[in-house]
Amino acid sequence: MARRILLGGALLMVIGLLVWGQEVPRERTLVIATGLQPSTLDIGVGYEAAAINVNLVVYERLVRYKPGSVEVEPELAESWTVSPDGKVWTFKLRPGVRFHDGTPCDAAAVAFSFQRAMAINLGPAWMLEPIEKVEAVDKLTVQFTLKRPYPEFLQVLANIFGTGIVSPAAVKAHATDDDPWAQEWLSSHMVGTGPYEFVEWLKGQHIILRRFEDYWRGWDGVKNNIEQVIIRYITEPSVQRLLLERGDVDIAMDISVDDWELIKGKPGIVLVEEPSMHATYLRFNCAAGPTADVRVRKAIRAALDYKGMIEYVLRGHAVQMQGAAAIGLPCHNDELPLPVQDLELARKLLAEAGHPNGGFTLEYVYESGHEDRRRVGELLQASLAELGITLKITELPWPDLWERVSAADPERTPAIVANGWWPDYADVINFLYPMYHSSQWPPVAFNIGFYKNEEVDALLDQAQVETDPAARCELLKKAQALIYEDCPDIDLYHLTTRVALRDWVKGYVYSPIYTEGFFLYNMWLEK
Amino acid sequence: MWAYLLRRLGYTLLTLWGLTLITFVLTRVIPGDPARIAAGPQARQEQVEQVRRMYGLDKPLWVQYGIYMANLLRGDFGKSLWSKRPVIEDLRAYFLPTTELGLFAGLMFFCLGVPLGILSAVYRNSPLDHLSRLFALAGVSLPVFIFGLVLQLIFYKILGWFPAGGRIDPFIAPPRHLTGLYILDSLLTGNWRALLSSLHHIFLPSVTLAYGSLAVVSRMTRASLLEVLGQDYIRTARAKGLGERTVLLKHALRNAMVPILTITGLQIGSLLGGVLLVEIIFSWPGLGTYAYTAVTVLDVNAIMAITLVTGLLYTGVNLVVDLLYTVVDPRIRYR
Repeated sequence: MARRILLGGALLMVIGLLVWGQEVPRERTLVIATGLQPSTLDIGVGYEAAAINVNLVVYERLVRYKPGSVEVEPELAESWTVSPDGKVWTFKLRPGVRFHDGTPCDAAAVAFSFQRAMAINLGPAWMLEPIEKVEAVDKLTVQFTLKRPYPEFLQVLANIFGTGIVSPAAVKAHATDDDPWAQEWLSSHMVGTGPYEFVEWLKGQHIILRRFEDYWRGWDGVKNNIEQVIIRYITEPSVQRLLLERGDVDIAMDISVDDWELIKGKPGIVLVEEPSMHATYLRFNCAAGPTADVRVRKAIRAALDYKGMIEYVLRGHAVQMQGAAAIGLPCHNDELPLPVQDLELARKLLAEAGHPNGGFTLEYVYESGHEDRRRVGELLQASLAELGITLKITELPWPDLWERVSAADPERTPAIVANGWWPDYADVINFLYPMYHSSQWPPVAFNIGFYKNEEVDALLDQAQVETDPAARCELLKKAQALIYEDCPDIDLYHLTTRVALRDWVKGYVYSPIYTEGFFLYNMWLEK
Repeated sequence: MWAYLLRRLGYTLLTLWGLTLITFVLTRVIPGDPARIAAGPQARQEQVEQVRRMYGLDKPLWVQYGIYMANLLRGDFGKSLWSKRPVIEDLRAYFLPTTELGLFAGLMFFCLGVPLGILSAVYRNSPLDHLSRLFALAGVSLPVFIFGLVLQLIFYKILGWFPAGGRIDPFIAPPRHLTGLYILDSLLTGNWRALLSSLHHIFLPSVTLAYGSLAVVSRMTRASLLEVLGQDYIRTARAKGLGERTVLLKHALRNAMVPILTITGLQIGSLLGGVLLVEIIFSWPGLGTYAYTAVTVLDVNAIMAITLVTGLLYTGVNLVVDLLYTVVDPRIRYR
């Protein structure tokens, strides 16, 4: 008995000490649970959704997307001008901005950050490819000279990858002969100008950020009372749910669909669900096999049960796509039809293509871990069986899938590949060019179905250099219509982004492009 | 003895060398282009080639292997294609937590499993023995994943006694880095808050991890001890009038120890397998998730390093167990 009391006492002591021993008070700390840990924190290298949350608050860009919208607004730049030929962009910087290490953020620092990302030439650098040079004209003026007009340049600058401004002093302090850009140090440290500064990254556990007192927007008169941010890496979604329910985390990023239904309406928890710009497609092999015939592709498009897909496969956590580009983007073609299931039409098209009773087998490939894509495959399999077409579903890990679709030989490419696409910035060309321009056939890029339409190519080429926004929009809308008509893929759905918060977290706004990010400066806690 | 040790070390090196060869070839022949993945999804061909050159992936396989081995002998595992950091840096961050969890769980199942086995052997066919049998049966048949989640549900969600996961409370600074094992480091530096928080956090994951092995070890102890207790020399010892305690602990247990040690060594090996799931459930920042990521992104250098270090650990444990035989049973001599 005495031993039991002793044991109980020890346990109580443990718990007591844990409660007593907190340095930064919990009520001024925002704790976020997410399953995704970035591979690197280097703003010039990282190119993955997992880095968005830290990138958005530690680093700042010349311009950014307005919270909750796809509209670009000034951030470190106060204003900008473009030369009439669209090739020279001049930005006036905000004065008095300092990095977390105390050094000033001036035009030289901005130029340095871009030179660094371009020299490293990894991940996000492809977006900076049209830049010929970037230089500081004077202390607060920075000028980009481009190789060609780049109509979406402002969008690119607002994107989260590769465009954040990093402290040159910090880079130089940690550079070595082998590593002139301090990639090794910056892969686990961050020095930017944002409202929160980087404190530590305990790998696999958490990243801690602390409020940057000298932030240029200032802290007087704002509602924000968040002194510290802890981003905890919790792989298992059900654990995130437990932590959220007990209030040990304030925001959970990965609540499973099942848990989402269960915590709906629970007091103290707020659920935010918004359609994302992430697109899921079934890409046809347009160059080999039965799907090289547009009528077969269209027959398959008419066979899929879209209503069942959204309601049963995705349980309502998605919206059907309209055309190849994301709904909600500027220049998205809103006039395209939404495909519906029509087996009669499918039979007619198959008969025209010379397969009145089907009689062939197609391979459907999807990436492991994407349950939604497996179940869409099964749905399609059932519909195609009615048309006499056999669908063979193959699951592959990403490297293997990539190997299959990046071969230059269409004979090796599967008939149907389920794949997804995240836009880096809010411009439909970010969807259309890499996936539908014939210069982007494997192994170059993502036109994995070997789609080619010279008219589409010409429209996209024009759109790449057209500086008049309205004229460019027309080109892009026309390209979307042509692509829909050629049916190189079935445009499936936009999954929703689901964020679960405690009700004491205020000021959260979902951002369609910085999906996983938080505008922490505008947020506060009411506990 | 020394000659034996040297020979065993030689074999260990040979095993590890074989491991490097097999893993190296396997990571290079499986489908997928590591350079393509490392360069980023939208990289152009020239960027991919740049990465390929940077990591030496453009050279013939045997040259790559030669360079790799030369670097390895200098203790350099190369750079991770995924994080772009030296592999050794990531490995240090992820390997030590796994080691700590493994050691703690190992200690737990050995220190609890053996006494439980002894008790069941001594009180054979008593309610205690039946209870322990039931306990063991549950231990070997309960999947780690379910068991971990159930513990979490009871002790975190309902009772609130233990944290849901992590290695230390995020509000408490980890102890100063000496060995990288939080419990040891906080003991050495006298950081009691960190020590308590670490123990608090390691408890549920190690119970989850240890339970299956505990069951096996306790059953093995019981069986082995019962066999020894039936021997003539035990009867002789008792006939000499030795106390039951002495008979049990000095005569019987020591002789029963060899199979127990063998099974313990094997169980430590199997802990390495179970640790992946436990790490996921309890958000333990260990090798499991790191290894998983390395495989999915074809981070060849990281895969090599993980395999080698795990192999080293496994062979090391086996060697220690073999050497312990001579300690518990002087009749065993290695030449």
